Amino acid sequence: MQSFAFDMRGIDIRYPHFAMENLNLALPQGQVMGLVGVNGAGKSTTIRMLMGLVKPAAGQIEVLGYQMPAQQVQAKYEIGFASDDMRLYKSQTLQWHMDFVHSIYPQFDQAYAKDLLKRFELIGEQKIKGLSHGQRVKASLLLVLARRPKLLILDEPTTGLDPVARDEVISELAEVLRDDARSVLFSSHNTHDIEKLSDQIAFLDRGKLLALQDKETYLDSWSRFRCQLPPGRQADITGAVSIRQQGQLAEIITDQNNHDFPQRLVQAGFTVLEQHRMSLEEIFVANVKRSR
Amino acid sequence: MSNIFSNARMIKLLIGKDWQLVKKSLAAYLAGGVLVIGLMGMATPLLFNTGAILMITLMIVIGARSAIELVINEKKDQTLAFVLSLPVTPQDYAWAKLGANLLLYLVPWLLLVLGMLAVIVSSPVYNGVIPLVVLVSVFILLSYCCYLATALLTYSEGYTTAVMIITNLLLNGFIIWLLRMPAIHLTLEAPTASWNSTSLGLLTGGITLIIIVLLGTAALQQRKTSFL
Repeated sequence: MQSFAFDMRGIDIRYPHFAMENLNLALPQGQVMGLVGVNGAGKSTTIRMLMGLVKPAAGQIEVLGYQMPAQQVQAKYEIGFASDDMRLYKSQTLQWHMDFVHSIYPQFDQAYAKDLLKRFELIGEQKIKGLSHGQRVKASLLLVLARRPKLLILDEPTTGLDPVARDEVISELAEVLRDDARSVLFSSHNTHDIEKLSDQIAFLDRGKLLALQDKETYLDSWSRFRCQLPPGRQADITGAVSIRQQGQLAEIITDQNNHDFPQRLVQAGFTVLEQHRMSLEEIFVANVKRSR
Repeated sequence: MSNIFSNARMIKLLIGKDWQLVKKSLAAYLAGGVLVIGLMGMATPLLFNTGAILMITLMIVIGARSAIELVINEKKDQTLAFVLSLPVTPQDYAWAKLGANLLLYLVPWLLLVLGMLAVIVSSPVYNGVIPLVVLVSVFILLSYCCYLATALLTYSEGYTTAVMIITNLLLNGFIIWLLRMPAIHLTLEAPTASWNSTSLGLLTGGITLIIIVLLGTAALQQRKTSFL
């Protein structure tokens, strides 16, 4: 039987300008899931429900075998959570925070924390108010990683970082994710980060799960074709997500890319000029446009 | 449903954390309190009255700072997400905030009130003012509980500030109302504190309201379903 780091079933939640209906989302243990969506898609709401901070109107949430929100205290001993809107106490030093977190989590790894201090080029005695945004993100990650959580939940951790800081954070996360026992949910609207780190992709838009699939299979299933059409012919083919036609040239995007699709194009009288593998960002945009 | 005993270790750690965050400013305010008590101890009517006004101001400032710094700023400075990521329920967090605020306000409040009473008892100031001093101090404590409750239930700086302004305005009215009561003002110059049925009734009423506000806050907090 497959065990899940988290399992959300039949989740309903409703706010004045946002609704989520019958969301089903599960992450197998040891996997890294990238949760992608535009602002307001429901990523943070999903994460808050996983952390027990928001109670859904209906549905069941289990995290590391604990029912949420009822057993959130036990669950949070094994969850590491960091988000872009999370700040530390600016009047205190990073070392103060490390001591505070250590007093809560018996498994806090001091040696690893010191190692992360060096790798992130942070100074323990420096007050948080003196840190740049990038340093603050690294400090938050240090506090989360050093407690060696079984499930890491990161809500937009790289938002607002400059390219160098982002690269450093992503590289460190990639290093951490080599631990096969650790499960990670990583939310972002930056698809490059998701593409780099994730095993699974979950697309959310307006509270709906548009896709949930293994990353490679998912990327392989999407493709962009540039085709030439016979004179006077309208581009129309089953399996196309979007078609942009200009005269006799058409750009066709599909999410059913297999050996059959190019053949189907040919059978329909199209001449395939080019075929491109799409980036996650392009897929993301095409997927959202299709759903609206 | 979470109660104060179900996660007592974490609640204690959070209260300790809040103490560390405000201990320096609290020490400064208490040093100010000592100076004000010294001023009142000079026992001239002018210095005593000036000291009493400064003492009321100090009690209000300590309360306002405590509610703003420990509750409102936690939301405003976005440290709330950090605390709620720790092994606590939002209810544990509310208990810890209630505990920390009461502890960090009640202790200085009690020290200042006892200091004032000690000055009155040990100086030529009429002891008859003691009921007035105690009633005004309890009103300030009740006001503090009201804006602490507002802060904890709304995390809104606007609403909390509004309640602060209203309770401060009511304080002036309350003092004038007390001074117009024959049962209070006729005993102000008595050599001993005169706890009559009026002053005792007001004291009981004030303490009852404080308990109702605190229990009501805890009950409403338990019913919330969404945090952050």
